[in-house]
Amino acid sequence: MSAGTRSPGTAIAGLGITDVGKIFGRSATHFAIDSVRRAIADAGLTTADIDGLLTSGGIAGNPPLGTLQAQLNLRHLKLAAEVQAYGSSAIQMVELASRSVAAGEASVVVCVWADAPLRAEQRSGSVYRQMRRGWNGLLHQTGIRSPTIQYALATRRHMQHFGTTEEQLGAIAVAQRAWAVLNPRAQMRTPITIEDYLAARWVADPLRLLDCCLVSNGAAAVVVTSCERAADGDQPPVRVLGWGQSHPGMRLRNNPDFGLVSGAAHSGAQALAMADVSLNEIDIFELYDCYTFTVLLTVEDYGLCEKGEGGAFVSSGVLGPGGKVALNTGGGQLSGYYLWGMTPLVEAVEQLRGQAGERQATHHDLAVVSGNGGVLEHHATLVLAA
Amino acid sequence: MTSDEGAAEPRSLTAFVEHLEKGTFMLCRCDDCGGCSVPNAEQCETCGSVALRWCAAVGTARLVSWAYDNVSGSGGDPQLAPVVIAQFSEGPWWWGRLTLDAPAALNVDTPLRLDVSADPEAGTLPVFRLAF
Repeated sequence: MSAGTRSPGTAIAGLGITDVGKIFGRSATHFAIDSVRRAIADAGLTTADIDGLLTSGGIAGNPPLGTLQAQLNLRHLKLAAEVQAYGSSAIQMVELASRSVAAGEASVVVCVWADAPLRAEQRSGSVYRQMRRGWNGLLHQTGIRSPTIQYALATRRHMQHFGTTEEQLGAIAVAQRAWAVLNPRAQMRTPITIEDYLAARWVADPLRLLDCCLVSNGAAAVVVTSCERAADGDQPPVRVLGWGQSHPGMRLRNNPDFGLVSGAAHSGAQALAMADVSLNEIDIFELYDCYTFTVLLTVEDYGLCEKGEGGAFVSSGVLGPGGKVALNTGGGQLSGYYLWGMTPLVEAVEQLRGQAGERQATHHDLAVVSGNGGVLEHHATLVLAA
Repeated sequence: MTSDEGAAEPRSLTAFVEHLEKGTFMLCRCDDCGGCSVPNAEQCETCGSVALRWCAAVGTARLVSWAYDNVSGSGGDPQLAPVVIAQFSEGPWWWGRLTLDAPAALNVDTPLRLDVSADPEAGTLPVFRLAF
């Protein structure tokens, strides 16, 4: 696969991921430091090679830039920033790093995301239901008390508008669990059926427990550098061919597109155009899946099927191991682990390197990775190549 | 239809709740284009103008979307509480609880009306009810 003329000439040369899941007793910052060290070592580099650092985080907040820089003994950085657009941040960090490297500013940039919201004595879902103040507190008191409620409202809108069904959403959960069974890093590895899905308790009707992502402690980091430098590294380079962003905004406002069209419609087309590849050339899709519905909407907005036909598409047997479409091949955030946008990015890198073990996709030259932040408020897409 | 009651007053949450305690839900009216925005808008949702002032919502709305939150009932048993996106007749969307006197089938565009709930713990809150 040759790179498009607009491709930045950058690559992911290193990948580091900590243990993920119910790993207690470590802060997000500790996880972040651990994953950065792993990524640098994976690339065959040392901290002395690093001249860029981008950080992002989840519920526990961004790992502090200054703390990370000091703890990792990174000196004289040419790029340093905290990035926060929620679930699209991981992709945006790779884009920012690539832009800096392509411009000749920084030469080796580490992008890290970390979170440690889980406590041993706390239920997973409760960490996203913290009391808020001000106008958001008013909404919280009147029932808008978690992202899941808002995604449930988005899902219902799609169901009403296009006739999407519970069973169709369930097909995504079942297929991704089948992939997770093959992923030793996945938190949920027991196969499920559509009957299991339908028997799961409601979190917020129309979303059941198995429609919702996991909550995990952990961190992941990638090293971005030039293709030339990556070629001399310890790992097969994963080239960055294209990117796109779209931030529709309209949070809690009158938004006719809410639940019907996401930023993926624009960011996907932009990333493919930059990479100079077409959708039917893509071997692997790693799509942000905070909920099953997010996958369904992104599938439509990327153009894998017509708008409104996502339900029929995902329930047609194309997903899951052996299916026609290699999508969320590690189990995603629903069944794998929840490191926000790093979950699909890590899986794409491992697939493109040919290091995905039992779940390795047959064809793995080109991958699309999506990130979705807030409640369908931010979207970013990457096109990556082996 | 909106009234000019409350025009030019500071648009704080405290003031909003004070109006709510009197049974009035305030929206923002744009002096430039006449468009309506949510009560906490900093700029007009239609034209971007900052020339906003509060006006009282008529209190009628239509159902845009709904979900049922799984909450603990009085005995600790799980209950499904309806939560909605409603579009006020003036245009803005508002997200909040739907209070049902009896189970009801919900549909897009179902007419709603705004009501005020006095919660012993949370205070005065806006809720929606079916309009018929």
